[in-house]
Amino acid sequence: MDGARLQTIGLGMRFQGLTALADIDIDVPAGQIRGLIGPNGAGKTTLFNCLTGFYRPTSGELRLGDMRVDGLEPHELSALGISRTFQNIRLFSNMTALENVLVGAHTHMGDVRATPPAAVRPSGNRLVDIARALPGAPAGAYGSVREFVGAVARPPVVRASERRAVGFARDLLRTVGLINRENEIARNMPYGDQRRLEIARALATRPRLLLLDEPTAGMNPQESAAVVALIRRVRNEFGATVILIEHQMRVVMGVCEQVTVLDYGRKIAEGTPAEVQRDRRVVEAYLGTRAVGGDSHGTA
Amino acid sequence: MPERGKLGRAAIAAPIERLRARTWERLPDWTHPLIWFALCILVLVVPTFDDIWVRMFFLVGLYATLGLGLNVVVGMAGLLDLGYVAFFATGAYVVGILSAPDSPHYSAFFSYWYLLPMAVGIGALVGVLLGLPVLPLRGDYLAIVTLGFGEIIRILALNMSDQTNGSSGLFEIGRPDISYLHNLGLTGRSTVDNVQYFYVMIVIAAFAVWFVTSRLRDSRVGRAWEAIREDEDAARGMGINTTRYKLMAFSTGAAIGALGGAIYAPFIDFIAPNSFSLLVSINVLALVIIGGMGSTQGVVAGSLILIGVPELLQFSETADVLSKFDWVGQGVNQVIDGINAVTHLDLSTLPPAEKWGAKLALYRFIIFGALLVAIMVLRPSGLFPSRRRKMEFEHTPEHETAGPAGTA
Repeated sequence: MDGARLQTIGLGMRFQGLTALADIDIDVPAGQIRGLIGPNGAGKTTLFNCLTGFYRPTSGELRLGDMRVDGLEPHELSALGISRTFQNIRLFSNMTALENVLVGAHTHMGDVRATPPAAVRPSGNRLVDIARALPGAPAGAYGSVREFVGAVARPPVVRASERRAVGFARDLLRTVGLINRENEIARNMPYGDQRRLEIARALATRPRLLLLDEPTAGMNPQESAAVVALIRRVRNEFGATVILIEHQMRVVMGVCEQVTVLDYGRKIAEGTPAEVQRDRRVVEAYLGTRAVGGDSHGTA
Repeated sequence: MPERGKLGRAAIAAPIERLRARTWERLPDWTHPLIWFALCILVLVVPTFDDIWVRMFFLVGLYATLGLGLNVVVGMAGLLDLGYVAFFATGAYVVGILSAPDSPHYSAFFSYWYLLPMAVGIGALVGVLLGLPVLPLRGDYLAIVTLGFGEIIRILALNMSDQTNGSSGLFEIGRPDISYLHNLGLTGRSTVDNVQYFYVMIVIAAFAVWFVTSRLRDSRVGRAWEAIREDEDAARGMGINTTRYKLMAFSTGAAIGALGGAIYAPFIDFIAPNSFSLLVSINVLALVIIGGMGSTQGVVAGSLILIGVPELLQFSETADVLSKFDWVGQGVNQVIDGINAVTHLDLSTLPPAEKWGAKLALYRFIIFGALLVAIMVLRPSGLFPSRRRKMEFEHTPEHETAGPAGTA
């Protein structure tokens, strides 16, 4: 697993007259930790929804690595390596921690393609090529029947892949420090643990690009620091490119290499955290026009 | 939880809570093998009972099979399907149309053993076809639309009289030929044509379905279903092709429903659109919920209660047994007299209590209804909650015992 470059070119999202995002050009190099900040309603989560296929962008392009991926379904984007966590935790609340992570591992267990994507001759149709390159069980009715039979008959191949997946999931739980809670029902877990479990679940999809939507929301400084350390580890050990939406300046300054600022659906600034903090337009966006000229103390 | 008056909670909820805690909320684990053992013994001795009892247990087995099938759709994938009867009817009609002599499509070529897998396959296909248009729907909307599908299939069967003989129905549906087993000396008959044989058939089918569904539950497919049930969007984000897995759930459930129908049709020997009313869907759903969503034992217990009890209350034997308990009747009479004497209520219009047993059959649905209400009040997550639901139960008190009741 290694990170992938993410590019959006003129990305726009309109909801019947309301422009939620306009002309967003973002270029995140592979392996970077990018912060995404902006006042409430700036379009940060909308951008995440566009990147993960929950919304279909109404204009512009989305590129992951050298592949154009806009217009794909969430599960296809997930298979290609885009994974996310949610602003308001959305775990599978009645499943155990281990099962939650196993669901994340869904795509990469079972029938993994024999043909490596590179060996497939391009068909001329972008969507066909992508569909062919997707890992996981074969598509269509044939794949469904095959998976059904595999689940019922449970041949050695299936058992082995299940065992591998459980081992992988346990490793991830160990990484986020939840290994001794693997059999606990997700909704009975403390808040901070749920956040970390969500990160583990996202990592189980083997992301090349990990999108974290306010991973430290509602946490005290110690918990936040732990999450920051975890994010850094995720990048260093798993190599994934990380984009995080964050409101706590302490976290942004501590972990992000570059920061992109959105306001009213537009990108208003980009640069290192220190640069962005000095940017006139950013301060305006957060504090209003009259504040500019006074000392800009950031938004903490 | 909605706010309730303090008095209401204290006066009503607290005693119920206490009762709930007592009614084997935590049935110890060592009892489970015993329950299974008892169940196996029961299954084995049933064929020696009178026909009427075997018939009852056949129906219990049939509904348990249907319950296991619906459990895939409702319990595992969380898709509330109120039209399950559609698939039951599909299976029954596939067998009926091709094997009833007065059917326009009668064909001597198809033996029952061709028709059974055909019914299951067509059932699975119908499941996909009905699943496709409802893919984007969730919750209540899904329930309403599936409810409609159940009715559509019944009305189709009624109006396509060129194919189905309409309301006059199909008679003498082909029965399973087991002359092969008969020639080997394994069975006394060469066709399955009495209740005992049908009973054995449904038991085999139920076990097969139980095996398949429990294997599915503990697989990648089952996990995908559960994830969809818990949070469809998050599941999509985690790489689950929800379209595919929802269709798989519909299709699996439908195939099992069709299997039930394909066994029911030759058993009852006559099918007509009226046999496939909404009540079947509701009964199957109710037994899944009463038994405990997602649990196999629950489905069996649910169908014993939901299908067995009304039948049981109808039997004259039950009335005979009850008539032996004279003293109960006398006691009840005295209570009634007492109430008459002390209050202004006039209960003398009630029949004497010793006659109640004989009237049981008449009032069976009142008793039955009361029983269902009692079960749902005392065990809101069903008789045998699934492992997971039990875990939820065991964890909730930890959070709630901190303060007195009513802090919610």
